[in-house]
Amino acid sequence: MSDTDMDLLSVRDLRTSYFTRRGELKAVDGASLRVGRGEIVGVVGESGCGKSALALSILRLVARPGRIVGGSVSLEGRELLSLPDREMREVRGGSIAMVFQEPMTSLNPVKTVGWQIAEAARAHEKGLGKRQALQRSAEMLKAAGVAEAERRLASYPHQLSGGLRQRAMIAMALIRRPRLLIADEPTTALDVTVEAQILGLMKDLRSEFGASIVLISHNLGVVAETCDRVYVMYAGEIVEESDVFSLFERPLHPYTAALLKSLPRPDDRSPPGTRLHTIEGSVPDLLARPAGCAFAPRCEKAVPECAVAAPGLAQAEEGRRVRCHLYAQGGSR
Amino acid sequence: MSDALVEGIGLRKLFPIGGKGSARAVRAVDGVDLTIRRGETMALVGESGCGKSTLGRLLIRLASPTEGRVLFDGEDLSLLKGSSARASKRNMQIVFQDPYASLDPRMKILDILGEPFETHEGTRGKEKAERVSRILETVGLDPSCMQRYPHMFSGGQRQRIGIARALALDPKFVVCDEPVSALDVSIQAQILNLLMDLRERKGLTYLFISHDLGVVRRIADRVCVMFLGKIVESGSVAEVYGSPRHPYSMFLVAAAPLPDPRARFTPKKVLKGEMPSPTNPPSGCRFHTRCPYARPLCAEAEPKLASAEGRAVACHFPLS
Repeated sequence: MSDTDMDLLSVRDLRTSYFTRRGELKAVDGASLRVGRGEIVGVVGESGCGKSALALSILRLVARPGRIVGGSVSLEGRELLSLPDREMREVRGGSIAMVFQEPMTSLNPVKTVGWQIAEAARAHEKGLGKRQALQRSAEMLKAAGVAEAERRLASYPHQLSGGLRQRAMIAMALIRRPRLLIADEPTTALDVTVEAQILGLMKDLRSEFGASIVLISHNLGVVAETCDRVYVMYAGEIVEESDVFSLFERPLHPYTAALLKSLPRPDDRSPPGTRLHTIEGSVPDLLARPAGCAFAPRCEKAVPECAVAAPGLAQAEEGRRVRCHLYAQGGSR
Repeated sequence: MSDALVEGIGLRKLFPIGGKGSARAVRAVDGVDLTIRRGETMALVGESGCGKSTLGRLLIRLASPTEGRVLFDGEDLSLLKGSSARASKRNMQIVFQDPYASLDPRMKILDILGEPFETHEGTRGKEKAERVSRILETVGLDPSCMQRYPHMFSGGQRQRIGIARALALDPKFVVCDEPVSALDVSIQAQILNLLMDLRERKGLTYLFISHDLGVVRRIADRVCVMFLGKIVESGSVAEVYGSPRHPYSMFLVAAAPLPDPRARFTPKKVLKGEMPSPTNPPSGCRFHTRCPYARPLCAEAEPKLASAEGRAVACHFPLS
């Protein structure tokens, strides 16, 4: 690929497995993705599709019995997977930051929010005084949309609402001026009006700080409103890659299309009680993946070939790739 | 027969906090009147802590109100005692959000679903197994699974079991409290369709509690929007979504993310600030501290829920 030099993050053929008593579970099974500078990239899929494992792998935070078994993750041309642990810790504290779903479990309950944000600032910038660090924390909280930021510095996490906690997490992540922010379901635990605030904040941060964002979400609405490009995952694989507009207007992969059709929308016009489109069956057991395409058993458009041969991710249109035999004529992986 | 199946009148539920003698309380439901008509699906929407789950529980006597009454089929539930109280409970059931937490992990499906028959009808043995197998079929599960335990089922299957348990005794009224919130989109659609099928086949009336406006749009006929223990607006779903009259409803509808990237070109109306405390709600209209349209009157007088032509709104200066 010629565009890789331009990219901030480039993940190639990443494989992460969990070694369980029942066998090797391929949580991420050869995922490739790229994130351009200042870009917001979405990774969307249902529970167990591997989207969180992908995020953890980029940060090399996969816990046992999981392990990255292959592939490459490069940030600004620097390979992360072979980096010594100490240098990788600096990357996590510096160039890449992460925001998780439940801020309460990622904040220290016995330290004030101000202490925690200031600690992050000082870890990043040696020689930064305590007072200076606190002042910078207040500024960052303000940038994250927290009113009365100075007063909030003295609050403990339990004294804050879910929305404020998530803002504190975002402030902590951004105080190190990361090049890349990985946000794993950052608004899933929040109410919709707060979700709208946080998503607005993330878009502002992109324009103000120039950070790139990887947004991991199960929520198609959140992805549609926030991202520039989207990767759809199913059963550990990326099944579709597209710019956000084409994806929602004209999904290519039958899974993406079915998912969008089965989604109840607030702007729906059909009379109440109209049945939803359903995807029959459920996601495959990753320890007993079907041969061929993982989605074939649930796919309305499956042809005999789908049960036999696994399709590769192939270019279907300019900037769009899809893992499906329907589009693979003339070229596969 | 009257049109109303369930009526809540002046309902209030306070949860005292701060120990004995303390006058402080969380005002979870704070003066709600609500009528649910026979055969309709009424949705209750609002954000965490607005009191929607508590209100659902009050309506089926899973919690008793601090003040107010619930009429079911015209009968005051608080006046029923003993066997007639028990009999009335058959008619009202609930489906919970987390189907795993609401199923006893040490009980087989046969016993979980057989319990209502045992308790209310003294059905045991072979007959119980037959009833269980019939109800499993009703919710789309294979009867052979009745010897299994809850952990052996997927989230969607567990929710089917939760629905089967609620429907075992042929209730008239079912409270569905966030029944699909824990499920993935593809499974969610299956469960919503099942709930719609069962409603038609059994002539059920639902109270559907949800924070997901998309789900509500599909399943409900009418909707009540709650804010801090009160209903601020009600009406048909299409009308409330299409032209909300309470500013809070307007922000809530605007905040719902649409699966349409073009939505980003319309500037989003984003509600500012934080949710006020339900222990010490603001004076006058509870929304006035966050409302961009608030005027002095809003801080002084509490607006009443005024209805006209099937719509009701509690606002001094409703949007038109």
